[in-house]
Amino acid sequence: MTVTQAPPRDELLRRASEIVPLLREKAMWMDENRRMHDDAIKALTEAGIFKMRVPVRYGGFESDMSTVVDVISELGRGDGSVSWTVAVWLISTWMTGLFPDEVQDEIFSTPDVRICGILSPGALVVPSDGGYIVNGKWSFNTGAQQSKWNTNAAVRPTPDGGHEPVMIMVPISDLKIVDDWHTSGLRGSGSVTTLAKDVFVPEERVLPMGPVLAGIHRSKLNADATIFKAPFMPTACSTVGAVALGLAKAAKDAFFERLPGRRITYTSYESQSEAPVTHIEVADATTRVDEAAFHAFRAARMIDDKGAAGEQWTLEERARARLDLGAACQRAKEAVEILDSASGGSSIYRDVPIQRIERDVTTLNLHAILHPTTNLELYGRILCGLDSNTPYI
Amino acid sequence: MEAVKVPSRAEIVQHMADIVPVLRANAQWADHHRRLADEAVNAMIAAGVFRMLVPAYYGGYESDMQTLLDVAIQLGRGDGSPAFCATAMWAQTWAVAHFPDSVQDEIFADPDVRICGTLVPNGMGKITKDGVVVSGEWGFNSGAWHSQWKFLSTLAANPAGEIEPIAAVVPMSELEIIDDWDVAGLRGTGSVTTVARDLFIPRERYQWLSAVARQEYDSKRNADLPCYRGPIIGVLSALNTGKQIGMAQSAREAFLERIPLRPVHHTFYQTQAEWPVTHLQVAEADLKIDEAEYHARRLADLVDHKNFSNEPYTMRERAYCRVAVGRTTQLCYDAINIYQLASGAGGIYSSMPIQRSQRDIQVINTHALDMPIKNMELYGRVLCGLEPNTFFI
Repeated sequence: MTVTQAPPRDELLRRASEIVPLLREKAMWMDENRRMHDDAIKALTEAGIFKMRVPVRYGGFESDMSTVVDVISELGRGDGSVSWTVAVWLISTWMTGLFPDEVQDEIFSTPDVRICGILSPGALVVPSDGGYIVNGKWSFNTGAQQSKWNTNAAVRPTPDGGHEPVMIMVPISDLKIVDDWHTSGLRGSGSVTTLAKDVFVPEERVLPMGPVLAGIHRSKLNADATIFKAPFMPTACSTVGAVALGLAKAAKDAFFERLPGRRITYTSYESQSEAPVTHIEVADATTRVDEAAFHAFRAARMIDDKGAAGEQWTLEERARARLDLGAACQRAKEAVEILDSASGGSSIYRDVPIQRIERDVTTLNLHAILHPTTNLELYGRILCGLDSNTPYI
Repeated sequence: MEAVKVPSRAEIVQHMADIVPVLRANAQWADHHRRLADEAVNAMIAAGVFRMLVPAYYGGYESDMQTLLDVAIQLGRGDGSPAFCATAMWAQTWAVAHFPDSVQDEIFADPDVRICGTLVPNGMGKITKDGVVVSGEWGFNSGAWHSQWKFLSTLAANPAGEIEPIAAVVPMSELEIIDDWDVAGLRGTGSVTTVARDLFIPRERYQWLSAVARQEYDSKRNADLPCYRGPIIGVLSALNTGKQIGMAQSAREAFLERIPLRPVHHTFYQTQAEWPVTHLQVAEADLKIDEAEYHARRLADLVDHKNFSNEPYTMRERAYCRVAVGRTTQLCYDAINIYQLASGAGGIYSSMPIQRSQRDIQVINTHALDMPIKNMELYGRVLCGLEPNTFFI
């Protein structure tokens, strides 16, 4: 057991920035090959990114939420699929910290272990001697091909004849991978389908989600650690919202890189940069990028501040964490669309980043938890004095 | 002149919150009579509104921008017109604090003095041996009926014979008022036109605007006070964001209060609060109000930091000052329009604050300094590496 000195926030951000050029270089390869490039994984490992949400007693950093948002959004400036995959790995690693300590001992014995995860229950577990037998199917299993473990959502029968959601921890080697990841966006995330056929899961590797959503988990040693005391949904929302911010920043970089020397075809403008229409577009997009950042960091700061103060979360605050996620996605998408539209016909070639950024942010906005409209509706219900219409809050 | 103890930020904001009901109670009267109600002005005087930017030497508060933002939000929660007058008068008060100390001694002898005016140059001045003789007309003098002084700008030939604007401060008693304030919104501001005919202004009561732009001020006593550091663009912008936010917050308060009882006519919904369309509307409006405040806080932070550190502004920061005002206005305009549309036909009666808020924000949206698209264009020019196309930056 080693205890490392966790690098400070600016140091981790600096390391993420250093990886950005590599990610940009490999982005087209990843888009084409529908998975993350090994060089990217190597660079992320060397930068210590996979230790960020690992408990300190295993050599992890237990980085706070603002640092996580910094790093994931910075990686998003390089490539959306990498940023998304890292977000999934980091939230699943955090989720692992809620499992019984002996489970963590086994999983975290692999340094820089990569754990993928699925929130949507796609399988049934039935009791068997010392555990459960699981059968099911999970689509959208981001990074599965490059992970060692998988936190998977399932349902388990209850005594009253119903079902309750649980999270199970399974080694990827127990699952069958179906390579169906032929998609319009986030292609590099390799979010394939995985199948479980009569897989045995020992009892300690089952985590009931009802208690987790209420802030109760099975780890004793992490019970007092600030990052593991944070509620699950706001933590997950804040982690993935950073991807949207990263894509918005990437679009801005991509646009300004191409701007010098570009003309506006079939107009008398010598340069796109002198057209007042361009000025309005870049200002509009830039303010929206800043607003995406406002939402991403407001949620992260709330998690960090409440964690440090040991404060409870109100229903409205939980809803606001989801609103911030939806709003970060929405503003990011608006910014990307403005800049994509201003990039003209020459931007549709596959080697021009803005078209990929646009496909990635559109895909991100369709995710069931990230979808802006779903989040607006949920927050609006709470503002109007109604109950939540989902347990995922 | 004895120094008065300046209340804390929390105390000041509380005083403002306390007069919100007075402003609300007088809003319809002001709208109908096209001027502020005396009761509202007296409450504002008692709360210290007009002292916010008067030098402490005269009993003023020399408030920072964050405090002024808090106050403007409170006043906007009360009613758009008094909030607009207060923020306009703050700008004139701040400008007068750069005049020679002897001029200030006279004007700030009453630390609750009201100074109306605008920066728009009109009319002509003829420089004489000991002053300037001015004739002209100036529109949009918000709060003129309750002001003792007016700040004006006109054109005159400088010693080199070139025509350039001057700024002057004159007693209201020396001006004629034309009651032309019959308008669609901000009716309560009483922003009438003032006329000067061969009005003599002594030398100490006017400044060359080119000197002001170079931050060469005539006041000796205020020269090193952070509150009065320039450039004007930062302070004037920061003063112009809070009222819109307060108006939108007030519309939110009124809307959320109404919906639990309001039926949705010609549908099967029992109340507006349970209607999913309402949930989307209130969430969308809420997030826009929060984003508006994000820009306003960021701008106030920037200006306070520059004032206290005496660091120069970059061109991009100057342009951000402008776009922050534009974007804040746009977001609040959007939010108020959402509430107004969602308030149905019942909201159009003169007794309903929402119709007034909507007319008021509509008018703010057309103001030369607030107009979102104009500010966007300027910010975008600077982001694209072009020179600004205005001196007002």
